[in-house]
Amino acid sequence: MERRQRAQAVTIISPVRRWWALWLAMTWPVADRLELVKRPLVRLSFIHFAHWSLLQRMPPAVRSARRLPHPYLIFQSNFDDDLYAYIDAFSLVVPGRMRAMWQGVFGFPGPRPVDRFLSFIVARTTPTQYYYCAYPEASSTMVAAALRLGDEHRRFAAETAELGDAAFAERYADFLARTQLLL
Amino acid sequence: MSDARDQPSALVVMAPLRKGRDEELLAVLAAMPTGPASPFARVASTHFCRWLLVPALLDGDGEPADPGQAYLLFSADFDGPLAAWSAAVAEQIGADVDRVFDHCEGYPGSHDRRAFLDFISAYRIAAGFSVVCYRGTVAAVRESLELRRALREFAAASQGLEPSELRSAWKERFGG
Repeated sequence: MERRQRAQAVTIISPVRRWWALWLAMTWPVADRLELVKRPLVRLSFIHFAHWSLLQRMPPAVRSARRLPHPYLIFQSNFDDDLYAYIDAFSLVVPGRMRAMWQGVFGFPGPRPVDRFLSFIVARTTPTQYYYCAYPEASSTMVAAALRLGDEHRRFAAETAELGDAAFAERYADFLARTQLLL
Repeated sequence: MSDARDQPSALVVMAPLRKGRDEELLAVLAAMPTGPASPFARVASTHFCRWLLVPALLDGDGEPADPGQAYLLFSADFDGPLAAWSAAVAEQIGADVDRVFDHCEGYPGSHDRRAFLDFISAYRIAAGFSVVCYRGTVAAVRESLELRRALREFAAASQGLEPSELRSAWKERFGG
């Protein structure tokens, strides 16, 4: 049976106003460390890894290099299944965070209504020519669940190593009940 | 060496393409094997990677800001530090990445590891804000997914077993 690839790539490169690039450069170092800022995005549960970057000069990491006419916001994400559902969720669940990222992008229509936001995203998406995922059969939710289950399994194995059959069976029933949603 | 629960490293590289190489580059990328046959499957610490051709950077009106200049964008998420990963890439799949990056201005090739890393470092764009929904090395993720599959099968197959049978089936399947 052919394995279905769940993860997909999206890449959006947008010119931003210089003052907005300054705002992002100042706020990201703090925001990137705050779980509170990231939690709603993590809870969307169909992102594997997503990154926002700023491109201001070429070559990008050479400080004396030529400054580009505009700074560029580069968004790239590895996410599951459907771009439309992904952007829909961004618009409905985390509109404030979308504003905090894209407000200073030329032509940004705001996160709502979703149709306008979606058109904005689709028009700025650069097609991916080559994509590789090391575990294509797994969604982000499956990976997160599997890693947690691995922890639970190690704990269970250590706790039951010396138990008799009846006590083991009892603890196994508890283990199954506790991990049901992770299986 | 990376810990099993370290956050993967993120790499974004964007480099100017040599003039007129667009079509040739697209053909190379289209011919590159995907899935388990991908060259990146041989660099075991790679979670994700992508290559894309950026035909032009646009200005605020949606017009090319620097007409005629295309770029190659490469990004990857991998375990451990960049130096170790780029050394593994150069060693394991140098010829494959050379076929792609050779279309970029000033690419030195992967045979000189130091020059290869310098090129990647010069054209690297730092990730400013990241959302990472799980932490684990590629090996830890794969092992956990396999364990999850095994536990699910065991839970279904072990229903109704007596305690002694359950214990012995568990021991046989998972050890301990």
